[in-house]
Amino acid sequence: MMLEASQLQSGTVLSTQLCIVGAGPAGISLALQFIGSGVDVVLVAGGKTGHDEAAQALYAGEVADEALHSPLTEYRHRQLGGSSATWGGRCMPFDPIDFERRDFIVGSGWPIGHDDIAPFYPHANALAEAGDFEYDARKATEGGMLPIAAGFDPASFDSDRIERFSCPTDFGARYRHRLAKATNIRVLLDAHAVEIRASGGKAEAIVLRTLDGKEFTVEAERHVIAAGGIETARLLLASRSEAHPAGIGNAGDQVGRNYLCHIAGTYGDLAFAPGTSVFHGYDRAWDGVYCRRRMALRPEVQREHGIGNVVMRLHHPRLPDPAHGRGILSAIYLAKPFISYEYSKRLHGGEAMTPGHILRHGFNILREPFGVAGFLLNWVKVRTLAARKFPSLIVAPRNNRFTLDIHAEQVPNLDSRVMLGAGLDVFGKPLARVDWRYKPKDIETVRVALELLRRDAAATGKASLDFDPEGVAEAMLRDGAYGGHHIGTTRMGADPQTGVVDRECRVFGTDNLYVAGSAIFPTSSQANPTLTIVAFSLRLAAHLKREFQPKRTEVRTSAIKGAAA
Amino acid sequence: MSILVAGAAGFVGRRLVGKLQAEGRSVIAGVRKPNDAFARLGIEQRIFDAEKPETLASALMGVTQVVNCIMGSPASMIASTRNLLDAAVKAGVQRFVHFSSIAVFGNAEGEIGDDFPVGQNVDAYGQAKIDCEHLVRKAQQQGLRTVILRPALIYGPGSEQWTGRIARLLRWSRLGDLGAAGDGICNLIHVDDVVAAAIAALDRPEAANKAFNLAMADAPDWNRYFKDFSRVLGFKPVFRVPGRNLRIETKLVAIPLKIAEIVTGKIGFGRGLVPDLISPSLARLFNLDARYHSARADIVLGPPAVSYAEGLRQSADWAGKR
Repeated sequence: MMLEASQLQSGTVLSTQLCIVGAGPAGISLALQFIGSGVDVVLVAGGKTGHDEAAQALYAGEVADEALHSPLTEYRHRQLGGSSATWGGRCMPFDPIDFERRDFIVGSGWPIGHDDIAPFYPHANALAEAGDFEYDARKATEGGMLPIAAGFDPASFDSDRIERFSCPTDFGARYRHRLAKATNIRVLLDAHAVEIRASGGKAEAIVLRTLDGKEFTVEAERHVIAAGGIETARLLLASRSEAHPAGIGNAGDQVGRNYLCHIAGTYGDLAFAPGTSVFHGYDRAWDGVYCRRRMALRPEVQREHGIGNVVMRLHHPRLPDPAHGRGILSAIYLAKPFISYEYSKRLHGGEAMTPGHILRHGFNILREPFGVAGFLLNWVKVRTLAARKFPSLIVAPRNNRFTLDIHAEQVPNLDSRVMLGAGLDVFGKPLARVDWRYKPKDIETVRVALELLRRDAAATGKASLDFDPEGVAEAMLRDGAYGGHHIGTTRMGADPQTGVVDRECRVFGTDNLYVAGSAIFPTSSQANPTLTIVAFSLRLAAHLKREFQPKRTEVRTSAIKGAAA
Repeated sequence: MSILVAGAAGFVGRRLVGKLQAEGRSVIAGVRKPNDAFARLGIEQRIFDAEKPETLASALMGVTQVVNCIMGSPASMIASTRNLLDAAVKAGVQRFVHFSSIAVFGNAEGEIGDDFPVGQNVDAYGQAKIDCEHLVRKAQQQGLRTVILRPALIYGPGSEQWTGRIARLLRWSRLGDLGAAGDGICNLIHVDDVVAAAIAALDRPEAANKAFNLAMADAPDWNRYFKDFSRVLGFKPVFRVPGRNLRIETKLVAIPLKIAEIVTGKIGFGRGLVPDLISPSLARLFNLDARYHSARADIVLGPPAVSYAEGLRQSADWAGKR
């Protein structure tokens, strides 16, 4: 059922078995697994069912370097459904190598393997509405997907790996009715967690505040923090007490460290031989899910060269430079004021529009007015009005020259941090301060991958890649850390010296406090995090259900034995 | 030993008569007007209107078992059932199998077994089915051995409601993947499983004086059904129906379609030309979180034999040809 937290009286103590703080993809996926389970659940949503300025303002905070990280109120939505209100829907699982200890990446290696999470991916895929769990281009669509270009198969890359797209599903809008119907689940709207109260190794209560000044608590047998990579760290750090002077779970000074996003950008000039038929768009599976090929650096190549995981996609030229000559790209460039911050950031870049610029873009449009009009009409149909949306802009460039859209792993980095800042929110709690850093290895991963592609592309005889190795860092950092991927701040580790949560996502040093969400990922993979976030919530749900189950089996066995005797 | 199937011209009745005849049973088709198909098959027909009790004594002459498949308006279903039961008692019929429906459970949600209480927010149809069940139980007290069958949504070849209509709505992308609007459980039961259950209800002594839910195990949700059915029908890629489309369907489009349906019904012409409508109650069903369990039927009458995949294949075969 849905409850407005402001309807509760100050001082109320809500007693429950499972309290989940945070109602984004992680918290909602977790809560859904308990419908009809007999376990009583309170799901704390730090916001309303839609956007709310006052709730969103609680996300304000500081960023150490604004050129490297977007403001903390962007890419995050404090509402039911969380940041799935704004995501792009790109889904793909982590690769087995992501979980391995790699000698060439400091801090790599999970205490669990790919096999531990693999069983949960198909259900996660269904919850994300990304269709069948099939990520092989040869099987994802009937008859298999078109190749990028016939004979173009760069050896160091697996071009048969694909990404699938969610609607993109807003987990709040999509699953709200199921939560509302469930008699064993209470969803508290607009309830803001300000503190985890713990004594010794036990989390006792979550302290909640409302924007109209009420304060109350939820006391649960088990608590799960699923508030996102930044907010989860902030909440643990801010829950300082005599017993936990550095915050909860922070005895090993790990909370908030290893804050990872992805290294991403568009770069390079991949020219296919004139006349080559190149397909870089979307195909659709039988159930309507959009699928797209990507070039994934093979794991053995990563090991051979000692670099991180990375994928590349063929991409249209960068928008700001009118030299691309495409009216559609120019039209979208000029439409910047109408496009949301999250989408526009990477499309438009930071360059200011000059009148000369605008004029040249205008000429591009005038060169192909019917093409532009047709494109826009179709866009309204497949994107604006569609419930399953065409995922991104696909425009064939002139002369078969593409750039590469690169998405790479960021390696663990103790100095990349989410901390408590000097500012306070309306509840008097410290705001977050983000100091995102990268390592030379992050840039090296991209540079080496590009060099391998240059070599491999030439070997195929179908295309040639031109890029300046000196410019890789600038291109990858132009837009800073990839927005919205907040990873690693309560990383899973083998022990409290190298991690915040154990293999079951339980916070070290506590016996009933867990974390769900990408905060637990110790490494970032090449993959966008949402699908894996959901998969880990399903795994955590399975674990918690076992924990909640009364230990009946032993009783039964002994009863049977007794009867037999 | 003669079996009278009352309402034999209906969808389930036809299939049941055909199956009984194929099994070499002595079956009589009870119809309101002569039916060519039965005549061609050499099946005995008895013409009667169950709403008129005076026509029934002759209809039941020599009949040992009755299956009541009569459908109609609430008042006519109740009247027909009452009259048939009276006549059956008088004629000394040995077994009376009555088709009720899961509609007796109204909009109750959750796990619904054979003994779940009936009557929660039922519509007029469901209430009529409840009233009919009361009549059946009263006749039972007078010594008539009865069986009540409550099939879920009957799909498969011949099912206009849950196969033909759905296929047409999928073809025109009026249905598809409904997202949040299609999370309810789609409690299907294949027509051949219903027929098999009805025959077992006639034959098995232990079925007497019991009520049975008939539903498939592990029924899919509606989204799953729409997607899977679209796939076998070849309507690909499956359309994701925006929430606003369904609201427009139920709030705006359904009204003129309903009027057209009534008018063409009254003038007796053009009914087939009126597109299917998605009524608000149908849309509500797509979100009903009820799962019907047929544990009693599984044991006494035998579990459903047609798999979901096979049922879909047959459905697509049938719907695709029309």
